[in-house]
Amino acid sequence: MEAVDFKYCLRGKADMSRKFNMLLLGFALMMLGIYFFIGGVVVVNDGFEGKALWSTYHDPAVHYDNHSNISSAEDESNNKSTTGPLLVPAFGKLVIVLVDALRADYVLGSQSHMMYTHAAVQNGRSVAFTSVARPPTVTMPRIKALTTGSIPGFMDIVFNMNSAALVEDNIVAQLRASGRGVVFHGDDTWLKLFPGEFVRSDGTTSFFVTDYTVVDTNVTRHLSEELAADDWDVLILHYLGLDHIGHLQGPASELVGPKLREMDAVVAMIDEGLTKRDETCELPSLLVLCGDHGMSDAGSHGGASSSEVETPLVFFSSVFQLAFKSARRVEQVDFVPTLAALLGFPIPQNSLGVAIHEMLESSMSEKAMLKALQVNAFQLTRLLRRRSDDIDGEVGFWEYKHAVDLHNKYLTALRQGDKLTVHHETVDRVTKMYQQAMTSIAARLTAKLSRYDEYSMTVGIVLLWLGVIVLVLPTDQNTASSYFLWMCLCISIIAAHLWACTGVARTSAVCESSPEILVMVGLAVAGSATAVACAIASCATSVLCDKSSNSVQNQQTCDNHKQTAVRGFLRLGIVLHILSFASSSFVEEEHQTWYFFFTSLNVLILASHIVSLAQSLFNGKELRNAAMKPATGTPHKKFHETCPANKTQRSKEGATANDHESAGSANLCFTGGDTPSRDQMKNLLRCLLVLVLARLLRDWNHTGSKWAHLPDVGDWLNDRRHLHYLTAACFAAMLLLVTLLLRRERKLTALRSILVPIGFLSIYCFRARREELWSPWQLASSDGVTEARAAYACAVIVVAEAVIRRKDQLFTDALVAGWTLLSALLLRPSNIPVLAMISYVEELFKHSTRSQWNNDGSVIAYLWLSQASFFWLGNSNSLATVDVAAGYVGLSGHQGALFILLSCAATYCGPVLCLLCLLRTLLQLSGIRGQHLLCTCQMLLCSRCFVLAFYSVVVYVEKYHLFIWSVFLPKLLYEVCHTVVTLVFVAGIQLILVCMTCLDKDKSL
Amino acid sequence: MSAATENTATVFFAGISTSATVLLLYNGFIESLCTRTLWLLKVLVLFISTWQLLSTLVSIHFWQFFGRANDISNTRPKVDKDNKREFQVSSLYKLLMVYAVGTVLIYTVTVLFGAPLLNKQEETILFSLLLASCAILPGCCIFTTNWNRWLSVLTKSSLDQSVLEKSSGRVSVCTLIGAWLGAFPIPLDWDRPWQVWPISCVIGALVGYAMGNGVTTIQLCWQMLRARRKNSRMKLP
Repeated sequence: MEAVDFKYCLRGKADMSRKFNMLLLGFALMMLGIYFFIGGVVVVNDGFEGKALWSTYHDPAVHYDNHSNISSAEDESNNKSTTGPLLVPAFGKLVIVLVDALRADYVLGSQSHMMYTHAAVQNGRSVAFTSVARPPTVTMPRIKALTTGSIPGFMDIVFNMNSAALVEDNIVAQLRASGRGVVFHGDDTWLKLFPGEFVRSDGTTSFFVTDYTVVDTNVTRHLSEELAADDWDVLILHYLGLDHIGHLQGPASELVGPKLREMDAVVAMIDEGLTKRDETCELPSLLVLCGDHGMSDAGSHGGASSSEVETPLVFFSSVFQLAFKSARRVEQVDFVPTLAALLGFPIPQNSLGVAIHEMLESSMSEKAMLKALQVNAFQLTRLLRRRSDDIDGEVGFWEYKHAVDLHNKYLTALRQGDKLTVHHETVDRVTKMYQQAMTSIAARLTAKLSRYDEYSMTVGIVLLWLGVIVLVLPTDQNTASSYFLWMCLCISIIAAHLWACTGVARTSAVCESSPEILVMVGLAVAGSATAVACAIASCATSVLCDKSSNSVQNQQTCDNHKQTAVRGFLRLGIVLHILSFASSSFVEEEHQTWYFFFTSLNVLILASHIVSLAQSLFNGKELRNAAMKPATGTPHKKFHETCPANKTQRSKEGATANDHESAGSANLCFTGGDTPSRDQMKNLLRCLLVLVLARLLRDWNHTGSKWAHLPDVGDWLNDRRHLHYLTAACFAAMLLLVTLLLRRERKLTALRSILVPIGFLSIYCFRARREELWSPWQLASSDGVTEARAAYACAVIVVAEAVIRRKDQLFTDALVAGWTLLSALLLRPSNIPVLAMISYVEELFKHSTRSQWNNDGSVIAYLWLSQASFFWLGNSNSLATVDVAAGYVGLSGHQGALFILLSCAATYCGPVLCLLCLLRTLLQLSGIRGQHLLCTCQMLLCSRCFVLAFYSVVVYVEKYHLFIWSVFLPKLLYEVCHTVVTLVFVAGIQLILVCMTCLDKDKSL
Repeated sequence: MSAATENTATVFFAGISTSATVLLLYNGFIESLCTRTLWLLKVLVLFISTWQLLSTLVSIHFWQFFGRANDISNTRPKVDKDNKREFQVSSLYKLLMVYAVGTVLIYTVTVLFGAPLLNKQEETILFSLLLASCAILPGCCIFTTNWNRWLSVLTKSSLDQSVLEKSSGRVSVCTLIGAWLGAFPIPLDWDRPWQVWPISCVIGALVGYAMGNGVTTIQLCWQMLRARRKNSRMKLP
């Protein structure tokens, strides 16, 4: 992508429009490619529709009744008709206490705050398991898993925010169908998922993260009357407070202990209430305490670390007398068939769970238990039959058949009254066989579950690569137009075909077997082949040109090789970064890649600075001595001619005709005397400072997975005991930001120089009001909505003013100022210093690298900086690090679209800031807005498209990798999000450009 | 022919360095490096620094130690005018000073690259000593405080480098690149003992060192063979 050099951006108007067209084409290709690829990754859900009935699970192979001549009186009544219930309930009432983000060690760990639960587990009053959730460990997919027993698709996380009613077969619907009244209190996600299913309900909004007391008291206040009431059979409580504490202050917060004790008290209260009730009821009651997902060591969730996926699953009942000391690991979905067996309702159709046999053993007779296991196993084989092409070849099915045989033998023996001791052993054997069959079927089904629309994925990849080609291709070719037509034709055909075939109303008969597809594929191949040929030809010519021009330059410049070393390193870095995607741990630890590259880049620059400084110190003396001897006037004149890149002059001159050459010759400047050498000294120090700051930032927020748990500066600042230090750091950071934004060299307006400090002041007040920062005066604690809105208003006015005034320089400065204000508002207080340091690093980096390379190089270097800044702010490639709290800043409630927008802005504020700074720098250097901006946009799109295209190939190849759900797909989501942000950025810039040109024309007319 | 003797010495030492390093890396060295990191690193640093010092000094002053006295006046290359090649004890102090400064520089850069600052200091210091021994000690021996020469080597602007200078430059570049590449496996989740800082970087540096020396050996051997063939051909008629 570096082949696109600025010199290919011809100055002609026709060329510009062609370039613009290409940009547009690339833009469209990227959008389409992303659309199709993501569409292909979404798991195709081909489970059963509708509710399961008892008749669904009747396996004629099992002879419960007098199927053959053997008959038994007691079984006949129960199982003669296939519609009668297969299982008899073992429990009457059920209470489910779901505590959001309840980690396994909070309950089962040795230092548990939940004394009652812990004691109950220890003395055998309750049975505890460690249930393992599947990533994404986010609330809504987990609720779906807990109720349907299926593993929801990864893209469910996208819809986590706007949950629609659950149509799949689930526990709640089954409970209702079996005539039980269900009452729900807690997270209102349930109400959206199961509208109209509850007898009574009180929902609390889960998205208001900063509140962690009211959400829980809202649930608990109903408890005493519910325990007294008799109209319900199932009570579900979903507590949110713990999750909110985790999001706010992490798992080690001092708020966690009291919260857990509160939950423990709730459990104790319900347990005692139920025990009292058991004395009068014929069937005992069951209490289940579980978590939907855990909590990472940073307090968030979404990823696949053990603390995020492990949750407790504790069953309480007065009938349990067993002591299970070790909490066995079970799958989260195992809860569903277990509950179905215990309460006697049909298992939801798409459940992948395996009933927990310890639970069945402890609460029902052997015969009933075997029957429950058989029903569960049959339900799984039914799913397997649907998903597998060759059911008889499946190991699990074979095992199931054998288990059924043995089961039948057992039943026959039972009917014949053969009460030998063999029975117990037989029961054990049958149990084990069913268990084994179910485990292997479940494993097989889980593997089969990750289905992809490979066709759509392939099309997406092809489109993305076409996009790369379009964006890389130099446009000053005669072939461009014909090639353009070709591309348009191919794309329109592909698009038409795709619209017909990959949509919702897809008809596989037409799309997969018709000759049309062959034609289409042929066209696509032909098109891409032409494109590739074109690209290779033009690249070859451009490389040749590049080489020849470089060789000319080599003679002109004295130390060109350092520059080429740095540029070569940039190329190497791009390649290495892309190759690193093939390894899952490099994806997890991508921040290390960027930190390493950024430091290496700066070390190289530092080395070149040192060398050139030393050169100017040594040679400068000699040269000056030599220059003094002949005519004194000439060297100075020469210096001015050869060095248009002289720092102070260049920024004033603005437009420099040929940056490439001038940047190359900038190193000649040291012959000019003392001032350049002082400049070089400054640059050297700047570079050193960049390195030191980068090192500090590296330790500010540890991300990734391998070293994320190590203590870092951010953790230290977030400790409540260090509130004063945090306040001081934020104050210093805001001062630095204000000075950076209001420097003299910026084009300032009076309005902005007033609004920026006011904005920061209101940000400070906002945080102080929420008690996240210390304040000298007493503030009534509140949500700080007013202050936050004041800050928003400042940012908006700053940008709006520049738009109205219509001046490039002014505009970019204002954009940077506005964006900085917005980011400072959205970021957590401990990250405000990071923001300040990123701004400062950018400022230093700009100066220290100004003479290093051409504009292409600086675009790439800025992209690296932007990537590093993304990770410096504590983000990672795991979904756990998305800061949801940012989505509520300045809002009084949950507002879907704004929430997503704000969270996205908070996540990508570093990269966008860097891109805006890049724009500002380029405008400062070149002053020409049209062509350079166009080329920069092209570079940005190209780099994104290249990475995404390569990564989509990686995902396609690794689609059955073990870590696909936990590592590769979250990364894909991040890549896509980053690309969309870049696309929006580029579109915004181009739109503004077009508007400005139009307005200028109007004015001139 | 002192240039030839210098060549011979360079080839000799480079060959020994290569084979010794390769042998070292083959013989279960990595496993023992994982278990007794500090001790082995100390030994390694001591050994390599001594070896580099001795071999470079001997290569430079080969003619002085082993050559005949009358060679001195007419066979020294002219480019070394400003570079007194007689061995002096005072230059030892100088070179040690430059070596120390270089080590501090390398330590700083290592920390900037992300080496832990508060723990594992001893490992980091030993690692930078090792890098300094491999990469800049020969340079220190050759140039000591002759900054102009250092600069010309760094910028590659001088075309009149001797064989020894070229080879030690190559070795140092290879060592540094090796150490740089050695950091790559650290984030991988293989959980191998050698992924711990600084072991992989040490191994990378040693591999780079061996490769640099190997290239030198092969190239010089090839050159000498060709020269001999040419000589014999010239002698034939």
